[in-house]
Amino acid sequence: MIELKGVNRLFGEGGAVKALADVSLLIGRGERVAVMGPSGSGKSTLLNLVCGLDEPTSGAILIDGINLAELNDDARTRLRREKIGMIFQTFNLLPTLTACENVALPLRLQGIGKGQAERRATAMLERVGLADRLAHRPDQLSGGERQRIAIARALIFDPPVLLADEPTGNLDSQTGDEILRLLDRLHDELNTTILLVTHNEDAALFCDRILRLRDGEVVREEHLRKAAR
Amino acid sequence: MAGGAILSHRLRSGLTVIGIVIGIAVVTLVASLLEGAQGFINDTAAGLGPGIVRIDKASFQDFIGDAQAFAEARAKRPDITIDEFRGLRQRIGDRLEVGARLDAVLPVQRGNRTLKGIGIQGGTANLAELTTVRVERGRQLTDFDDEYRRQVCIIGKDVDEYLFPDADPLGRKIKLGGTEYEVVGVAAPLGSSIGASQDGFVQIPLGAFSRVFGSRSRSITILTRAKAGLAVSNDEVEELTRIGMRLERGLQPGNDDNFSVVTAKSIAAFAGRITAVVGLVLFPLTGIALVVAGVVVMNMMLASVSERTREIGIRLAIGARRSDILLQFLVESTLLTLTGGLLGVLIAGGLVWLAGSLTGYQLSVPLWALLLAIGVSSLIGTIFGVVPARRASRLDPIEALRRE
Ligand SMILES: Nc1ncnc2c1ncn2[C@@H]1O[C@H](COP(=O)(O)OP(=O)(O)OP(=O)(O)O)[C@@H](O)[C@H]1O
Ligand SMILES: [Mg+2]
Repeated sequence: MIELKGVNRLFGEGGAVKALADVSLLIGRGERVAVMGPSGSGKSTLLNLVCGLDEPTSGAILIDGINLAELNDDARTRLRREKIGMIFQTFNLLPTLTACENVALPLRLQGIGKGQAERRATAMLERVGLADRLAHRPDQLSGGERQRIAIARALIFDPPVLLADEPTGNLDSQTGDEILRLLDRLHDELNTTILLVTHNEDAALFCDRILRLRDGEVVREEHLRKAAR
Repeated sequence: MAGGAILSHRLRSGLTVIGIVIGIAVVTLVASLLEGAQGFINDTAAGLGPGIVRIDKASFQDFIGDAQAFAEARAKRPDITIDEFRGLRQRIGDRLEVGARLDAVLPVQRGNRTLKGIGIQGGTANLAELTTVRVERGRQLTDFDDEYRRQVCIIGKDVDEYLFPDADPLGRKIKLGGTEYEVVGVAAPLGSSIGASQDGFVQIPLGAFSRVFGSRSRSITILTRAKAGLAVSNDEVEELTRIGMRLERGLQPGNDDNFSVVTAKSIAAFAGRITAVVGLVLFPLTGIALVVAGVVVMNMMLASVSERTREIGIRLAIGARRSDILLQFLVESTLLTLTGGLLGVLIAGGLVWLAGSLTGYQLSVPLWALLLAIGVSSLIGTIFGVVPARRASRLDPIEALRRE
């Protein structure tokens, strides 16, 4: 499903910062992988590469056997929009749009009419428990509420792959558990492949496998249960 | 969404499009006034009537853009005299109807009622065939009236209605500058030309006119047309009249005319030249102004792109194609300038309406000017939006998302 072959990602002049160093990975369909590691260890960089937003300095990334580097910009964009849900660490909500409009935006970009898009967005916001915040703008909402809008937006296409960058980082443990249960349900219903970045060991236990990064390298892999291939 | 982004920067957007607003307003205003002037001039040509040729001392349409030459001609050219008129009639009277008139503006009185600013036309008897005035009741002026300088007159409908609200004017007297004239005819209404009534006039015999005002001090107007039943083309009428007048004045072949020949055709040509001159000066100037305004819009859009880098990054990250971003910014800048253009048209429309109601002329914004304004203002936004939109669409999403 998701395959990384010797992926390097360097930043800065002359590649001064090695965000990812020679990472090779194979993640099966429906597998849930927790990515852990200290700040700056390359977790977000990994997710950006998998969703095709960023390109590796060297190495290859394949999704369903297709090398992302071989897709043109538009094809990669469509893949990201429809097949990969991304929950960003910093939410990345548009400040001028309401919660409902933010969640509906990927549908609108797909060419779906405003009415239908907002109906679907409303349903999704109900699923993350924000039915009463539809018309609020992000700056009128708490961190946890914003996080849930970002989650709703990532799930709006029921994507087969979900990349979540600390989705429970801003939530109290109860709401965080709710989100994890939501992801669990999604996985059960749609066999969603999930890559979950977290600092929380309890959250990591929700996954099949834990990947530990340090300075851009995979330093340890733990299999918690047999991955459902 | 594009509209929302414009609204959220309402003040700055307003300042940015001020150039567009003014540019479009000026063009639309001038186009409307030109169109109105054209109508006025065409009406004047119509008042002259087809096939009628007029000779004046100096007519403004021979001196476009040269007010000094016009003033000089008015001062230095010889007046057209009644003797010249008689001589011309001798020369060409067998084929053309030749008439003359003199104009003055005077108050007209009857009892304690006074009408001010009434056009007094002193004319030869055949003036009836050389103007659009028709007698509805009573009789026309005759050669006899002219020869004997009889104090008789024909009055327009406005004069009739104001001075004779409850009496039949025929056979009664009115006072022109202290002299009494008997009303012998009432003219059929001419209606109004662009808001101004044409029916406030009094016609008297030319002979009577020169007795009252003197004929030495002023230049008369000569009118000619083909005699009824004779096949003489309009061009021939003009040539005969011109040559007759040159002979009358003894002009040699090398000398220019020292009088003006006016026809409906020459008036229309004059209107066309006025429009061309104004267009030639105004439209390039406005073009430059609009380009400058476009550059201002481009800069404001560039600033907006860098301010909204993060928003663009987010859109790219959640599945907007680069072409979507390009389109979004093109639509934004187009909407921005279109709004400015519409505002400009609205302002011009208001001014045109104001000018119309102040002058009484029927003025309006022509449809072509409206469409042109909409087209041009949108086009400016689209053209000058290309650079900012391309910059926006080429942003690296990773870099854009890291911007705070
Ligand atoms: N666009 C960039 N330009 C330069 N350096 C970058 C860029 N993106 C990431 N880095 C660097 O790469 C390294 C890995 O960054 P990354 O964001 O992947 O860390 P992370 O594991 O997600 O950390 P955190 O837990 O704090 O979110 C860091 O040293 C960071 O400074
Ligand atoms: Mg991170």
